[in-house]
Amino acid sequence: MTTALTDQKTRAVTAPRPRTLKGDHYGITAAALLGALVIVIVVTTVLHPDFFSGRTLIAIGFTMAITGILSVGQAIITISGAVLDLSIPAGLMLPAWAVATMLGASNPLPTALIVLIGVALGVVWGGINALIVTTLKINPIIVTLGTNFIGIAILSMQFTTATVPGRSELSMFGNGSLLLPNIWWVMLVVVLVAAPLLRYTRSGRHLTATGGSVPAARSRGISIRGMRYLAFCTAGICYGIAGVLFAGSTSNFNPMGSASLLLSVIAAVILAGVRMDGGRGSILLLLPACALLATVQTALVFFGLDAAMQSVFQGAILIIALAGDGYLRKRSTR
Amino acid sequence: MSTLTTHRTPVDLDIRPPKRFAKIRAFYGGSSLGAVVTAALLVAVISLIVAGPDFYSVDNFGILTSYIAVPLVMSAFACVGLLAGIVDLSVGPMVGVSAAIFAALGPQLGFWPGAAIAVLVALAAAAINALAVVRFRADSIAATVGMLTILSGITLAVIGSNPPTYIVDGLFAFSLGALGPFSYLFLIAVAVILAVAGFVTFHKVGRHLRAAGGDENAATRAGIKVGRLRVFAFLFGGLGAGIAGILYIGQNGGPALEIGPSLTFQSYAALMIGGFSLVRGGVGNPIGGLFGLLIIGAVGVLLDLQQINNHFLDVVLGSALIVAVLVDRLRGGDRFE
Repeated sequence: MTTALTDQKTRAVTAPRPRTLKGDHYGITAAALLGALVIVIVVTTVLHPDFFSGRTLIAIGFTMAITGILSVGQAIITISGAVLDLSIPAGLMLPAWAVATMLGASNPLPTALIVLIGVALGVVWGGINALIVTTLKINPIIVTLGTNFIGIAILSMQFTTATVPGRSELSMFGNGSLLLPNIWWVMLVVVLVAAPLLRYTRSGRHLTATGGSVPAARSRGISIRGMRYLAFCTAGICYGIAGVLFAGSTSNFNPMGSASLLLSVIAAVILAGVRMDGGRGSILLLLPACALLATVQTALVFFGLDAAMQSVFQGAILIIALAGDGYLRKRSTR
Repeated sequence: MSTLTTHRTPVDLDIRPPKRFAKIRAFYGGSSLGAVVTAALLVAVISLIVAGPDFYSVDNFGILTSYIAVPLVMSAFACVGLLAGIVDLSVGPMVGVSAAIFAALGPQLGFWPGAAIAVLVALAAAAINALAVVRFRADSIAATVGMLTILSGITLAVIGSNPPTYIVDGLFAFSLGALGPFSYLFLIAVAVILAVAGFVTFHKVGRHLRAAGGDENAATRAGIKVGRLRVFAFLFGGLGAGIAGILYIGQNGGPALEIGPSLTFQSYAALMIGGFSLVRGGVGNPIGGLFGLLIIGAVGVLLDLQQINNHFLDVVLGSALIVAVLVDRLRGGDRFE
């Protein structure tokens, strides 16, 4: 017993090293992601030379834009400690459907107003999730699993295919590009706005602190309920923007059309080094992560993989990413 | 020694008001009877309003028992995973992939080789889940969402634009058979449920499974190999899904793209009504799951007979899931702050 005591004592004395958070190697993560990106591009170009073209870049930009915006929302939720939002498909589809319907009306509202309503619907969706999570005090993964199922089912009762009028301003903008697709630039703005907001504003720091430890955050007077609303509604803004752009860049879609996005989004968040247990993560790293995933997805088309096999691939990437995240967490808690 | 054992516990930062709804908690606490009775009454009242007393016919009960037979077999195996503290959302799509592969290969290779390959594919999927969740500590809900997508992709690729049909004469005739209002398949499913219930209640491994799900650390300290049991639970669920896929083909003669996530939801909502928990393992009894599935199945049959848009069932299932988790929390599950 005494030896155990002295052991503890000496350890306490000889190990005053400042504790750094293990696993927060943002530089290494960024380098690894960019390295993987280069490898994917080089390999695909060697095997399929026509891959390296402006058209491919545009295609990657379109894929990356929607997942990028959604992953900002997902990352905020994960960092704030609410683990995962599985209701992203419904959160995107609700504004997208509303926007498509409003644009298709015989006497459409001004585009700016339609965009605002779309974004607001995203916020409403996030607010519903937050309301359920905070009043019923149930794990958000299960809440959003349920609300997504309900949301998609309700939307499926409303429409089978939504068509966006191609001559509307939103479609012109959504399908246009300036070097890269217009919607890619929107994504870049969202990332560049969200990153400093989360890192340098008081609310952003409170969100991160809540994700780190709920009791610690509460003892510092942070309203946990408020933080849940903030996280889900901020994510809702992202879903709203993504939904509007989805409607703007897709000529017609069905209620299930956004289901596969969820996997890419979660995979991107994990690849970017956002840890599933909350409190840590960088929004900026979502850029290389989404770029890598979008490039892989586009490259797969060049290798002739059909839609069915692509979903196999996406699922596999998600499982591998989650396994890697779990492994790193296990190592760092040892 | 005394200084070690009586040191002060850290200050509890989590100051909570006294528990509200104490009587409701008591009703739903302990056993799962409260939830089953409430849900059954709810469904009974709704069906009376929507369909009238004619709904309670022997014929409709026969439809119900054959409707839930395959989900019941799947749930009987999948509930072991919930007991061990893991959630495998991909069991529904495993049934789908097993059915598709069995229907595609069976006519060429024969019944047994086709069935063996179908079950092996389901087991392989379960093994990958187990590797990711148990070995690498991935979150089980999120990781199995990935597996769900993989399996849906494979099912789509196998079924393609030209769905295979495979009618196994013996199995098909057996599926149609019934003892009064109880279809043979349903009776077999009930037997499986009872067997699994006996296993988890009385067998040593079953008790260890519940202990592993109830408190992982305590179980580990008691010398129970939690990881190994969870791998077993995953594989057990995969085996059940594989068998359920073959039974599905026996009953329907061909696979369908629809069997997938919806089946998982149906099964888990039923299990949760029956007293299982998605957030903590170690609670619930397969027999409770049987009643849960009878209730969920009644909703399905009701919607079907009334020709209500079948997306409405999804709305009901999703809501049932959230309510069931709430009830579970009132029963003593973890609060999420």
